[in-house]
Amino acid sequence: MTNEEKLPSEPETIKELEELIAKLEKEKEEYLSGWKRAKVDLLNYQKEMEEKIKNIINFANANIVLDLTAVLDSLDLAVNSLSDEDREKNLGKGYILIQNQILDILKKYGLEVIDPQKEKFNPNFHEAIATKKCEKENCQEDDDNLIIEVYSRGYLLNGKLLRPAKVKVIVH
Amino acid sequence: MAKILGIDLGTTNSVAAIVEAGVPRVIENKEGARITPSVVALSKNGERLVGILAKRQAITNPQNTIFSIKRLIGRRFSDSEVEKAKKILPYEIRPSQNEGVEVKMGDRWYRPEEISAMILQKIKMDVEDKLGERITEAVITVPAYFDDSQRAATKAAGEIAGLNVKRILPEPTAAALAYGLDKNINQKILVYDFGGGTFDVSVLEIGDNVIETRGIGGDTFLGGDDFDQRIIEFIIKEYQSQEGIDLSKDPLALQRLKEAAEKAKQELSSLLETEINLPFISAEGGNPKHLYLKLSRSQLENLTRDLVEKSIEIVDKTLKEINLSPKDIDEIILVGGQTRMPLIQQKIKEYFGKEPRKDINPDEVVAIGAAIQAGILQGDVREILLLDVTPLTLAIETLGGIAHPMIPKNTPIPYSKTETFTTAEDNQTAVEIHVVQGERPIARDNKTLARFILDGIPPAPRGIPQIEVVFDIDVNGILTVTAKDKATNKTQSVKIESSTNLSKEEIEKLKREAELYAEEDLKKKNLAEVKNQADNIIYQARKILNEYQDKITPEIKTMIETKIKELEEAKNYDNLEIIENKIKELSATLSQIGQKFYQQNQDNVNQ
Repeated sequence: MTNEEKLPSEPETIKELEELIAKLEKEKEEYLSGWKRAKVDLLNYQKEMEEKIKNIINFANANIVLDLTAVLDSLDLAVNSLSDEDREKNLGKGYILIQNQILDILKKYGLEVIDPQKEKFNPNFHEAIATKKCEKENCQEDDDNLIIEVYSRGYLLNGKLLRPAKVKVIVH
Repeated sequence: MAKILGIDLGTTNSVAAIVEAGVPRVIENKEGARITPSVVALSKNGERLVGILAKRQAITNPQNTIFSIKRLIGRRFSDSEVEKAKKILPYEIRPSQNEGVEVKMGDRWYRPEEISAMILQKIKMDVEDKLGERITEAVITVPAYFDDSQRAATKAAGEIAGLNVKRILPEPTAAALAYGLDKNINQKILVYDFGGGTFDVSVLEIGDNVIETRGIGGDTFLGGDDFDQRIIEFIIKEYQSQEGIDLSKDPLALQRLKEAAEKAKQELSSLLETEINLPFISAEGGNPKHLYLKLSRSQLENLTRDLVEKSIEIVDKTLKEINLSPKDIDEIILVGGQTRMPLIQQKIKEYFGKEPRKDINPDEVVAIGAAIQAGILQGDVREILLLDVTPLTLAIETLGGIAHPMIPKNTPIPYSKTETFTTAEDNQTAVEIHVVQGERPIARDNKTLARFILDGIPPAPRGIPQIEVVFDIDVNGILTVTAKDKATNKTQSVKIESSTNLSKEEIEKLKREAELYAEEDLKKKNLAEVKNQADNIIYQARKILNEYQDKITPEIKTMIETKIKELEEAKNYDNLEIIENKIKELSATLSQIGQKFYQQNQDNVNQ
């Protein structure tokens, strides 16, 4: 009798223990994966922060330089509006000197000018804001997508696009 | 487990966000922008462009540049919306075999879900690039009014892009999730979404584990762009009346106007007046002409008041349709960049009689919500490992009874902090480590957790011995404080079990006290610090007297001794100013000796 009483309860205990083990294993898995995930997150975060800090150092001036490009545009327009005669006058020369002066300063900080006159349009550096139908009789493949006017020059800062050049493009 | 990406796939722009360590954040794309234009193009040399690149070349290639695809996805060709869209979209649209829609790009016809998939794929790739891990699952948001077919098509777009779409989430629901309003059971929330090209209103009701959309309204052709357009028209009209020149015919001038208008609009959200300054905007007979005008916030409001009022009318209509009145709404959430406009916020406040929620960037709130939903699915938000924090600051008593914080309050545990201290007296052979808990700057005003002595420090002048103190809290909140003399490696430590399990009331009481006595405590702390300073300078002075006794004249010696005595007396009274003055006097006297020595040396050299 005593044996019969014990028998059903024993597997019960083992079963309980097995359930407990399964539960603990599941928990262990959860903790392990959570821990791994946290580690991976941290590693990724560190990598990203390194990148970010590098960017911050390189591009800390980006906002102010970007704002200044509006002044560069105005200067470009000012210089372009000078007649040949004006260019020879001291006032006209002064404009050009100021333009060179500010560009020289900004170049020291990593600014590069994009002036794609007569180049092929490339959306990586140019933004089309106007188009012109090709007027030639037999339009060549080469003429298509050619930049015929640069409305405002684009700028790179430390090799990264700060602002695309705004251009007029020939289309078929 | 891989991360699930949250994507706000918008009509004009898309945003991606992800939950990391329980916190959602927007991921920048390859071009470094937080927003990706929802534009796809096949360039003239057969290259597929997505995002800003596609947008930049759009006008050179209008037939092969697909934008606003969201207006077509999952629709039947016969839908009135498709009819309307056809009129404004420059690319070719035709019915597909199953009465859906197809658009032409290059020489192929694509279903809208294939185009959306290209946008999603770019987003996916950029995020993978940024995070350095593969992304295979996503939560994508859709407008609340999207029907089953539109939702299914959006889901299909995700699958084509290689994303297992775990959930299609309504945009207003995402916004509510971003604000954590899913816990406000039985509340009614109105989401006011003023995007670039569309305006949407949704009313949500929060239930147990479910957010139900009660009502929707909107205008698919009213958006922030209309505000920009009003400003541009205003400037053109002003300029024409001033200079007689029509700028609307000049593409460069128009482009500059567009940028200036956008900038002015943004600035007038925080400023009352802004300048529109466009030199050399045009020329007349070789004479350059400039544009300069001031635009005030109230002018802008007058230009666009009807647009704002129209949006409020739509809100009113939407509420009436579901028999609700403004006072039934518990929370109002603002979505879309245009909602930064003060007039909109003011009108909403007037209409509802309460402040709308606007602290999350309205351009990103939907993506943030999608990421939170993704986080819940990936088990990162709800089941996030809840890190315990220290409820109060743990500190050690230092010279003058000041509580020097070792572990500030709200520091996640486990945590460990090491700092090196020294002795206050010459030949001090024992230090008392007094561990306290609380926010008050004077140690004895806080709760003492432990006190023990580290002795056996070899005799040395003050400031020389190095006593390393380590505060270590393990994951169960048990604090171990260890003090070690670095010279002898003699160590003493104590274990404190109850550093984190204070009752809520106890914590609150201690915090309240800290606030209550903040001013008085600061005074006490400053006083203690000045007294420390006084001790220090007295010590220095005595040392100098000792070291240079044969070089110092008796008058100077007496003078210093008097000043020391005066300072010691001043220390007995808790008057900060008097002590400070006496410190200054003593230090001035001491520097006189320095000068004398220097002079003597000079004299020696000269001789």
